[in-house]
Amino acid sequence: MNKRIINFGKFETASVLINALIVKVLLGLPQLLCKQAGNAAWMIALISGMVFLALVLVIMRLYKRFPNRNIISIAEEAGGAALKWFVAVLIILPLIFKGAITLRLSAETINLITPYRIPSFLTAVLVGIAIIAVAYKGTEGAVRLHAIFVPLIVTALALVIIASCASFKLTNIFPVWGLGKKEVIKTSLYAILMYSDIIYILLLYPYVKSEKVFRRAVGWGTVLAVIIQLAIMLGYVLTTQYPGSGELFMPVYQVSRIIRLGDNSQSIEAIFYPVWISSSLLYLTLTQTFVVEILGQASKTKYEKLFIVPTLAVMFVIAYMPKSVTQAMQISQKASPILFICTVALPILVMIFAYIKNRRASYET
Amino acid sequence: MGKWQSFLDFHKTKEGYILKEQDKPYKSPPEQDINVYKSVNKNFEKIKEFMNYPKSGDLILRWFKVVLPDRTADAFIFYFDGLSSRDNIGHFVLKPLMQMTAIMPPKCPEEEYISRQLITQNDVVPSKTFKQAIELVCFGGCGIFVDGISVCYVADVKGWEKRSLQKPITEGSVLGPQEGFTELIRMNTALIRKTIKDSNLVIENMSVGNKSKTPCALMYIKDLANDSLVKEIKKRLAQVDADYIFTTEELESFLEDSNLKLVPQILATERVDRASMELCDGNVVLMVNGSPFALVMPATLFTFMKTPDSRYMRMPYANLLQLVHYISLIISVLLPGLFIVITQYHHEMIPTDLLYALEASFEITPFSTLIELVVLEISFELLREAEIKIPNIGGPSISIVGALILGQAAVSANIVSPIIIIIVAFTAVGSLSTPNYSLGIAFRIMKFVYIFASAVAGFLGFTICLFLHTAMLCTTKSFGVRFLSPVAPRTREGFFKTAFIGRDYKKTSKPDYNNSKQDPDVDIKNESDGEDSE
Repeated sequence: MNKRIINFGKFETASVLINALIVKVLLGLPQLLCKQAGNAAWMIALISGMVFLALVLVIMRLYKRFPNRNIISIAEEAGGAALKWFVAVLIILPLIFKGAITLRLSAETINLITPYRIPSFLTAVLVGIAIIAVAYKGTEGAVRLHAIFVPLIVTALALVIIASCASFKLTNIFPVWGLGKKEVIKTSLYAILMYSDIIYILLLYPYVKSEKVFRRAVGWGTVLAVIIQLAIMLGYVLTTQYPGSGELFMPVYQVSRIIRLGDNSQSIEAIFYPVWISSSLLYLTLTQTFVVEILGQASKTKYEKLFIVPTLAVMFVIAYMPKSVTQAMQISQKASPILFICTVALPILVMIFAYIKNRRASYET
Repeated sequence: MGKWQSFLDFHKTKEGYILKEQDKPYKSPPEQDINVYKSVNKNFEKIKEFMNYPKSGDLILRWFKVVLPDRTADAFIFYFDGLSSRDNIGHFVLKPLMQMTAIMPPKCPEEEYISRQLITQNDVVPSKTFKQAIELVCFGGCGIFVDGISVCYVADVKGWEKRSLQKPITEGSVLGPQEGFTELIRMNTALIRKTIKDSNLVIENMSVGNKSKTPCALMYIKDLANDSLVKEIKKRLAQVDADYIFTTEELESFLEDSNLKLVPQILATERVDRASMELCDGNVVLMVNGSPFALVMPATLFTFMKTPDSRYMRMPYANLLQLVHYISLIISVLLPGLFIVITQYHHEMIPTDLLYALEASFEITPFSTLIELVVLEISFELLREAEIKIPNIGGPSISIVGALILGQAAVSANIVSPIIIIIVAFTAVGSLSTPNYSLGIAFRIMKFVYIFASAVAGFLGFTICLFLHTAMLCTTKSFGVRFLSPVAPRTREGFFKTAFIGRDYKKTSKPDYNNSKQDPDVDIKNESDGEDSE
């Protein structure tokens, strides 16, 4: 794929990565990690974050050899149309699945935390309308939105952490290794599997202004995302004692509930509703945009926007197939190794294959 | 049956005036793009035909004789009464032609003799075609035909009544100059020239409208404005296909990137200093004769949000003013929606005492908060429109009606709760404080969308609406420049440097978005391809 006319800068690229990585923290990852590793959940965020950074470095190093191309172009170059379609399908399916799970989770959690009752499906329909509208604006619209909303989301999260400082209890992080070293390492490995959103790096590359900007953006974005994740995890662990921390739904929201601003307001957690909603919306719109773009690129059609509604319909069907949100989360956990293989291992293999093929071709010539 | 036979015409019948089909086929007007004849009589006939004489009551045709070195020639002048100055015609056209010929021996050919030696008016255009001559006469010129010479001399003797310089009506300011543009294009361009004493300031004359041929002036500073921007504007101007264009506002709809977008993509200003500042920033300004507004291209949200006051004031005051502008914009669009969300869905956010008071006030009114809010907002829109239409005569009456009937009486009759009046008033003040009128309207429309979205789904609806509104703004462009630049896309300038006034605000750097030629950051940008995303 040739370099696009639309160029994204460091800030926008980093914003995309930050939101892709923190949306799951907002929707329930801390609870999951606390359940499995107890008080050491924050350490898991640290360890898995480090491993994730290393993984990003490896991918970036490999990617250096394929300037201005996304993973689909690389696959086509290496193995022709067959490999292109193979890779496209294996990337689209996890994207749709992840989108569906996020859609269900966000619709259910938004419903759960709101004091009024709107049917979850209606929430999802409203979110769907927003996704369609933004998807019609294309990748540009979705990414530019990140540049505006992500700083606000990060600021709001920082405010939640700072405002909840008064409720921090240092004793909550002891024992440091939580449920044991073995559990921490096991959960860390599992947590790495949750980072399949690395695929966005491989899809964003052709849009970024230059390789230098891209490297810096990915570096900054990943480091900041890991720091934010760590801060949220620490904030959650410090305010909520184990085993309670493994039970609470939507952990960051729970932290925001303990904030009090004297007599000026009864409770201010509602202010953060737009944060949770917009983070999910950003993630979903970007996922949908990339699904449509990959389909368009693979089928070499100019009318890729025709795929918006059908793919979203598929996403909706998958989202509402599990009977409950708990079942959806369980399926998501079980599927995470497969998702990781499709979105991280497969692209790495494709890039290695393309690299070897290119090298052989250059030797022959 | 010709194509134009179905054209309708008024005919008097016994039943009164009715529209009847036109009996004659439509005949296109005679082609004016023909050369002037040597025979003055032929020219006279042609002028009569082209100018619809004697139907055109304001057209003056006057015959006289010119004594040339070897002959006495018949000549005539034609001009529009009221459009040209009679004094100037008398003193600088007729008098020299009728009296000076005897004492001014010719030193050049006959054709040049008249324009170079006789007519003393400072601007004379020798036109070879009727079309050019008629266009100039329609813009206040006086055409002169002399027998034996195939040229029509058009002397610029404009002399119509005009409005004198006045204070800007829609863009008031406390500090700085108080000059506003007028309807006369040449006066406006002169005001700009007076402000920017730079020989590189280019004022290109052109005309728009197939029939109106309205004169326009495209202004830019040659060594600042981006060439591709100037080229694009000229291209769009050339593509304007309309019979009549009278104002900049009409032209704006032809020039902007998308007519469907809510937000304006071109800034209209009636301040001379504002237009000059924009020119100095490397932007392009377009003026139309007959309109006291100048169009500034390209324009971003931050261009609309700045006022000249922010340049004249000291930095802290200017920043306070800017902050007030942004707060007013946010209030004007989000406050009613937020009010609905908090009072209808999130009571937990309201302090208990206030909640009791609110509930008590809602209790006595028969309608829901949404209905009350929408009805009052619509009422306010009506009042505002009425006030604009008849500001002097009906203004005070409208204010009384608004304040007494809509405010006091509605509350006393328990039709609306007082808090709703406060919210509507606060929103209205916010809307009125928005620095740009067009932008204010765009956000006023969105206010209603936010109200309905919030009423339907609380914070979810509100956030989705905010999300889509931002997406819409993100993808809006003004001549290729993103509307939210430098926030999305983020450029080197960044939000704070653009939205507020820094210590170095008077430095020579130009806005990042328009890629002007003299941007001192250009070299740095090329060296590090860091932050610019465009």
